[in-house]
Amino acid sequence: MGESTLNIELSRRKIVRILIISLLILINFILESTLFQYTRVFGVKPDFTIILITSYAIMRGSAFGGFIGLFSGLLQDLIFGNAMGINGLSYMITGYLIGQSNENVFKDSFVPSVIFNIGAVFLYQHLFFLITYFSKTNISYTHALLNIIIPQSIYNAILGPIAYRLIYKLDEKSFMNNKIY
Amino acid sequence: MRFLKNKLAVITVIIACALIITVAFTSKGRTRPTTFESFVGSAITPVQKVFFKTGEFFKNTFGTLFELKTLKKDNKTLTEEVVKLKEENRKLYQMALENKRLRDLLEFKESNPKYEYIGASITGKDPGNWFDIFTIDKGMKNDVEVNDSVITGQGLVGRVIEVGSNYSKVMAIIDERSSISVIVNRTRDTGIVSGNVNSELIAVMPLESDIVKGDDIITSDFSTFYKGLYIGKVESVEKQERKLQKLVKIKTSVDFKRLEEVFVIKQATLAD
Repeated sequence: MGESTLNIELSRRKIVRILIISLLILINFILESTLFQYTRVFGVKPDFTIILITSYAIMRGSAFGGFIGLFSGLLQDLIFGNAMGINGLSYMITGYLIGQSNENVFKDSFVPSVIFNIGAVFLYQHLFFLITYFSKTNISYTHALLNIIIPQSIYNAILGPIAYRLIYKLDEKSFMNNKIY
Repeated sequence: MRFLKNKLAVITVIIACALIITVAFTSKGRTRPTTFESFVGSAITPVQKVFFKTGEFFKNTFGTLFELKTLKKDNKTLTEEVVKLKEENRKLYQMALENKRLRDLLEFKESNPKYEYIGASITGKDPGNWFDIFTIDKGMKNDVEVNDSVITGQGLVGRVIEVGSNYSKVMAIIDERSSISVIVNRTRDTGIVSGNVNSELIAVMPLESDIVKGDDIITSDFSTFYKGLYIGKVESVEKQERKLQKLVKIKTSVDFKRLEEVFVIKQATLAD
């Protein structure tokens, strides 16, 4: 295979990958606002956006984590949010920071997914809390911690690895891959 | 590789700064979405609607299976109630006629406002756990306006906060940021009701107000909502002597977990 055909093939796959991830973001958003509402246990819903972000951040690093976080968050702000960018900012920073671990974790194991899901929920919710705090919404911190953040992180830690396996399998498909054999 | 990573960090910081600025500028709340937002909203709403309906369908189907046992008993009690209510309705109709006659006699103005109802179904709910916002499938095209009240047959649901072309955002009354001026139907005591993170309704009433468990709470004349809309019953009253107030927990008449169809109401013009 010549150098140029190889390059064309690589850039083609890059476009396909971006399209598929964009589609994942959109599907995730639609499901989160509709069908996934039925996954609420005692009023707390697992954050599937966090699961998507952490999975890609673990597999592919900060750029992917940040990208998915930014666009999922902005979509949520657009449709349900009040101030534009609260979710976008929180999710992007979460995705970026989790992605920093990318080179130091085993991607085959489910353990990083569990740990990073807990970490990501804590990080995201605290960023979100901080921003809403400045926009004059008075929510009691301890209340939020006990009733939202901790239950949600546990819930996410349980579902995260399962979703991670599925996303990992999808990502291993040839059209998603950078490698050419 | 190092250069690339740094570049990513720089881009992230720049986007973060830009987002902080947009948050600052938009945090006051918008009532009209921008063209771009409106476009995305209009495109996504129909898709959401399909998924939401699918969810409702499955829930209802499984729900019916479990309810089969009690169906016969329910039917009997409901039929009995219909008979009772019909009789009551007749009496009330007579009273309404009498009321009208007496009002005419005294030359009182019509005090009961008439509403226009716009039926809408819910298309999506806020994915986050903090706030209670949902979208409905009616918008500017159907004359929905900002601050219109949203109700169901059971009672008050919320208020329209943003209107797109074919969708609108509704803030539920159990949202942390919502607060309503209310009145106790029995004693006419006024208070403020707001939601909290746990999706409960909490009212703050003056210490001397006379309120007990089971009292009906309705919206007052001072609220952004139309007056006299039913909110719910008092569940518990906690006296806070030092703050000179009573903390009242209210059980909403609307079941927010099973919300599907709602009405947007508008006050009809006095001419008709």
